[in-house]
Amino acid sequence: MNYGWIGSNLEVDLSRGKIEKTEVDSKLNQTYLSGRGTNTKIFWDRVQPETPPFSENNLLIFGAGLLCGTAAPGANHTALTTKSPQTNLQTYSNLGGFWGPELKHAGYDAVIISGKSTQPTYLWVNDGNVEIRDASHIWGKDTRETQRIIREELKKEEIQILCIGPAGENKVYAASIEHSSGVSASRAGVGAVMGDKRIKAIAVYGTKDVSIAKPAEFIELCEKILKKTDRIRTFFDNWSYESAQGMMDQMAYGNLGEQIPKTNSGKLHEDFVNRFRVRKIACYNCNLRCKSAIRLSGGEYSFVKCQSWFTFMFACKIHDFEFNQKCYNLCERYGLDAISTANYIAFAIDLYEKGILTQKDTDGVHLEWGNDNLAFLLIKNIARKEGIGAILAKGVYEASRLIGRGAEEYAHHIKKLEVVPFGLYTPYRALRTSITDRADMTRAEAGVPQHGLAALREWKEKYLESGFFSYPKEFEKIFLEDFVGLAKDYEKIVPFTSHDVDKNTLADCSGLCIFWTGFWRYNPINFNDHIKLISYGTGLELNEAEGMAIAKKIGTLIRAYNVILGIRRKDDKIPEKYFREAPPSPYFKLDRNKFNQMIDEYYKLRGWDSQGIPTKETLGELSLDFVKLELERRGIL
Amino acid sequence: MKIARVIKIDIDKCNGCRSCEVICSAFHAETKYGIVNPKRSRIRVFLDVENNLYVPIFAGQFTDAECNGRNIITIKGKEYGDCSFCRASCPSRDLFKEPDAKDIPLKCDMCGEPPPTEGPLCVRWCLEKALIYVEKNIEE
Repeated sequence: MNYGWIGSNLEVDLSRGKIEKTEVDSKLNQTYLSGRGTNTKIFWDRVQPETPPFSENNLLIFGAGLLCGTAAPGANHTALTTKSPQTNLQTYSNLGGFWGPELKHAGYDAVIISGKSTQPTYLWVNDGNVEIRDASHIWGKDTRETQRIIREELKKEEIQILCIGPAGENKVYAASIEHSSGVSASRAGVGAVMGDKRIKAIAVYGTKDVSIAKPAEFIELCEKILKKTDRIRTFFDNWSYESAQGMMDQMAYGNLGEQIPKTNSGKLHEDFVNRFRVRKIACYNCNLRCKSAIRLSGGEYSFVKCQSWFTFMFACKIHDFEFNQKCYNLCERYGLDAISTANYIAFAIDLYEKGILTQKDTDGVHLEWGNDNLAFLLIKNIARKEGIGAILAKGVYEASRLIGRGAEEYAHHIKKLEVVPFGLYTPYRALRTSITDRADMTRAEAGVPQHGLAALREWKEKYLESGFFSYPKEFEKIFLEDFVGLAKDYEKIVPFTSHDVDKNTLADCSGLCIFWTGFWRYNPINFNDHIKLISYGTGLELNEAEGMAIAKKIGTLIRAYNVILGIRRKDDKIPEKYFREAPPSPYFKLDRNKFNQMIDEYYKLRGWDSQGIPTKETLGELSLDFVKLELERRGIL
Repeated sequence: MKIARVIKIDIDKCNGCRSCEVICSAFHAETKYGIVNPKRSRIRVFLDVENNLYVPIFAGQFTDAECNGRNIITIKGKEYGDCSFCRASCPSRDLFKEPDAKDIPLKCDMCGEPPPTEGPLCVRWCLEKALIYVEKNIEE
C-alpha cells in the first residue's frame, strides 16, 4: 500500500507511440520525494547533458507534487523538468491549478514524455486508459480554444488540461504550457520543448483515491494550518495596495532602463482592485486565492497573478491597467511567458530607438514606446515567428547575436534567460537572481529577508513570538541584530537565502505552493509543519535536518548537471549595468566587492568551491557519489 | 419545535478552490480522513471561469429515471443544460455516485446527525464563507 505516493509513472514514447505504466522504485521516492526531486534524478539518469533540447532524447517530465491529491492546503503544484532550448541547461518550471492532483487521482505520480511525434498529437489519460490521439484539428488553435475543443471531444467537463498555443508549436523560446485560469508553466521554453515533440496537450481525468498514512494527525495539522491563514488572506485581499506600490517603484522601465516615473500608480491600483477585478480566484484546495479574474471592457474574462499585472505597462511605457491585461490575455492564448515576451518587446523597441534595428528589419513597422497596437502586433509576431518576431522568438541573447551591430549590450539576460525586471540593484534580489538555475527570483525567495530583516527590533521580537519565523533556532540571533537596510546590507541575507533555496526546493517536491511555505512573512506552513505533512502523509519518518538534506541534495544534483554544461561562477551574475549605474534614491548601485563576497559566502554554505562546483566532500556528504564519479570522469573534479 | 439545518451558498464568494470537495471525500472515507477523492465528494463545484461562474452543488436525492425533456438556462448570455446545476444522483451521468460502484448514490448528510459542532466539514474548510451553516427553529 502506498501512502502519499501512487507508486506508478506514465511513460510515453512519442517516437514509437508507446505507452507504459511503470512502477516507481520506493527507494527513489524516499530519497527524492516527488515532483522536482524525482524529476531531477530521472533526468540525470536518462538524459545525457550534451543532448540537444530539441531532440528525441530530451525528456519532458511532469512530476506531481508528493502531497498533491491529499488534503494538505495549497498542495497542487506540478514540477516540469526538461533541457531548456533557451539556456541549454536543465531547467524546471512549476504550475499550480488542478492538474497535479487530477494526475494522482488518475493513478500516476508523473508523466514522462520522450521521443517526438511526426504528427500533432495529444495525450488523453483517463484513469488507466491512456491514448495518444490525433491533434491535427487543434494544431494552430489558441490555448483556450484548444481546451474547449478537447473537453467537447472527450465529452467530459471536468478533465484537467495542459496545452501549448501557437507559440509552443512554433518553438518560440518564451513558449509556455497553459492550464486553467491564470495558471501556466512559463519559463525557459518548456512550451517550446512540448511543441518540438508535437504534443499539443495532456488531458487528465482520474477517479482513484489518494491515501494518507496517518489520517487523524494529518487532518488535525491541516486544520491548524488553515487557522493561520488570516494574515496572508488579508494580504491578498488588499493586493495590490499593500505591496504592489512598493514593487512598482522598483520596476525597471522599458528595456531594463530607468526606474518607473511615479505618475498614476494610485489610479492603476484603483483600476485593478475596484474597476476591473471581479473575483479573487484559487488553485486546487488553496484558500489564499492569489489570482484575480478581470473583466475586460469587451466583456471577456481574463486572469492574472502576481506582478504580471504591470509587466507590460512598464516594458512598453503605457500606464494603463487594461492595456497590460490585454497583453497578458494575448500571451495566455498564444501560450507565451509574459515576463520574457515583455522583455523581447522592450528589447526590440530599445534597439530601434538606438538605430540598431531599422524598418528594414521590421518589415516596415515603426517601433516606439507607448504604442499599444504595436505591442499587440509584436506579441502576435513573436508567437507566429513573423517579421521581427522570428528573431525575437529566440530570446534576447540569441537574437542579439543574430542582429549584431552592438545589440549584445542591450540584451539583458542571466544564463541566457530574460530577467524579472525588478529591483536588481538591491543586494538581496541580485543574489537570488544570480545564483538560481534559471534567472528567476522565485526559487530563492522568501518573505523574511525580503520584508522582515529591515523591520524595527520591536516588530522582530513580536514576529519571533508569533510562530511564523520559519528558520533554524540559530538564525534568530542574526534576525534580531541591526540591519542596515535592503539597499545596503549584503552579508546578512546570505544564510537566509541559502536556507530559502532548500525550503523552496522542498516545496517543489511536496507540491506545496511557496505562498504557503515561505514567500511572505506570515506563511501558514512553517518548515516544521511542512516536514510533518510529508511524514504523516507518507508514513516516512522525516525530521527537519533530513528534509533539508534531501532538498540540498536535489539542488546540488541540478547544479552538478549544469556544471557539466559549463556553468561556473562567471554565470552567477547580474547585468553589468547594476554595478555601473546608480538607481534613483533611496537605492545605490551595487558594490562589486561586496557582491562577490556574497557569492563566496553562498558557495561556502552550499559546499561548492570558488568556481561554484560542488566539492567532493559535499557530494560525499549528500550521498551523491555517482555525481562525484561523473564529474571526475569528465575531469571537472 | 424542529431544527432545520441549512447550508447557505453564496456563489459570488466562491473562488473555485474545491476545498469543500477535498474535505468531504476525506471525512466520508471508510477510514475517516484516510483518503481524498473529489469524485466521491457529496459536494461538487461547477466551474465556468470564462463566464465567471462558480457554483457549489450539494448531492441531493437519488433518482432512478432521467428527466423527461431538458431545460436550457441562460446565464450572462451563455446557455447551460440544467444538468449542470442539478443535485440529483441520476442515471444520465456519473456525478454523485461512488466512482468504483456506480450503483451506490452519494448524498449530502451534513456530516452526521447531529452535524459536528463547528458545522459540516465543507463549511469549516470554506474560509471564503461561500458556504455558511445555519440552524433554524421551525414550528411543526
